[in-house]
Amino acid sequence: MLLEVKDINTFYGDSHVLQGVSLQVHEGETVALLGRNGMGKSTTLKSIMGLLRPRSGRIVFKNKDITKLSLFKKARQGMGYVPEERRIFPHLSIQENLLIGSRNKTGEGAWDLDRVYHHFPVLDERKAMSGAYLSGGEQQMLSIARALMGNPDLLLVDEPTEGLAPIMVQKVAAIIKEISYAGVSILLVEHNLNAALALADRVYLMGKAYIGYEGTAKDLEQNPDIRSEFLEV
Amino acid sequence: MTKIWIKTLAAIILIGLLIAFPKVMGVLNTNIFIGFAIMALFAVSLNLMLGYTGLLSFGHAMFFGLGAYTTALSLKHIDNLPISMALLLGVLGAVVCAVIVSPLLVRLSGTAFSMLTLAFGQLMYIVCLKFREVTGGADGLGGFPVPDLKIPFTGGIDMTDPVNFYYFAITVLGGCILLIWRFTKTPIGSVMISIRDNDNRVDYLGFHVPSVKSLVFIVSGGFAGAAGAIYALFQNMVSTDGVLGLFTSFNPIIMTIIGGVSSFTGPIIGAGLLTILEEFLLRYTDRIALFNGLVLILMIKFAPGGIMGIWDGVYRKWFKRRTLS
Repeated sequence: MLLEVKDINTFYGDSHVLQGVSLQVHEGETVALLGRNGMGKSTTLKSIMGLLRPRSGRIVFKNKDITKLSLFKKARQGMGYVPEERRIFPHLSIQENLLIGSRNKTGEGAWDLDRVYHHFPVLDERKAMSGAYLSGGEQQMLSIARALMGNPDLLLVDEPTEGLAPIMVQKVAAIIKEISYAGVSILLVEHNLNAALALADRVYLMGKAYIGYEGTAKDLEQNPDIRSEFLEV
Repeated sequence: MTKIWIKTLAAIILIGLLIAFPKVMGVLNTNIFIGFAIMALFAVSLNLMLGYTGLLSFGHAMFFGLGAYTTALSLKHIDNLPISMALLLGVLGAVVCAVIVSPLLVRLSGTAFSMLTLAFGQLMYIVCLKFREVTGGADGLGGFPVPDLKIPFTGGIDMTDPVNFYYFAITVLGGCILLIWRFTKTPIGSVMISIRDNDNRVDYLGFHVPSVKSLVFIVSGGFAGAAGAIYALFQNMVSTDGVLGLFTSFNPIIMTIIGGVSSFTGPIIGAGLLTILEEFLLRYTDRIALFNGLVLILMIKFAPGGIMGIWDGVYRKWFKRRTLS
């Protein structure tokens, strides 16, 4: 088991926004966390990463309890985070944006500039440009590539296709698939059901602040009642 | 001509002009130039925090002042102390101060950071003012010996000679500015800019933001201390109002904003402009701060990016036209 989230409870002030959420990600697996808006998907990722502190529960990563570890230490343990809204550094060039994320591994199999540019040729073509001049989809690729430069064992990706044109959704989805094939485990929060089902091995569906369903992507595809209960408006 | 050749040629011309300056411009202008170079280093060191890391310090004079006082006191009390050692002790004094106060400051940002630096700056001012036996209080500390610069296989170089001192000061100050420039080009430089943009994003890339801020604070303080040490040697006089007063903290901020916060050369240009303005105005009035304030207001109102911001705009427009035509 790479990541085990056990019964975490997170609050925004007095609002109990995660109520006993538990999930697992195995090595090499892509897991999607789905649900309607406001169910707590992004909050779950933020709680795992340490941007929010759960009041109770445990987070175990690579057999170590990392619940109380600070954000930067979680990153150093091998957890990469791609936030919502493509938060790149607009005053750095594309290459500088990538290099700032670089850490951990060297040698064969490591995510370095060459490997990242191989997977993201659009970034290679514009490496000297400011990240601010990229389109939304290209910024999303930069954000994912920057997280990969940290050579994570697990990548937490928050709504990677949100607000993108359909052609860019396909490109970003293809990149995530490539990363998954390269052996990186992924926990993906996604609102686009088709994209998530195409990428994920397993899925969790969230109701209001809780996990309501766990199963394989195939099972969910064949279960319209569950989809209707948790995903349709 | 390739870019590297243009840069090399520009550097050779600049060094040539700096060498020729005292011979062409005379002692008075040479001394004005040293004053400008001291303020340029002071402002560049401040800009590591303000422009690069997004931390506005209202108390940067504490490092400048400690550098000046440490150098002056060590020359006064240690016999036969080489000038280079006095300079290094000045830097060390500022660095020690930065190491002590940084843990209290680096977890803060915005107004809280600015106010606490102001408080520390004023605390240092009061301590030096009241500690008369050591610092000379409001009267200051003057007349300490300025030793010759000892260079192996040559005789000592008289540092009381203004031209000799000019070459020494320009070498040290220019060297410090080059070192700061190199520092901004290291990976830490990118991390500093990223912290300014959004420190949370830097955190989840695996950087401990307070540690990076602490490093920047110490480096910035150390170089401000170097500027203060040269100031002490240059003036042969150190006083609380001269090196620790509020205006000593505000001046590099004003210079940086006028020159351009978002560029490395902005503070140098700002220091140059204010030095020229001061020398011109001194012929008519001693109300220099009034005019500095006026320039600052005009700059913030009409060119918030400073002189370098104006230059960038003009260059882009010109360059665009040239490439389109």
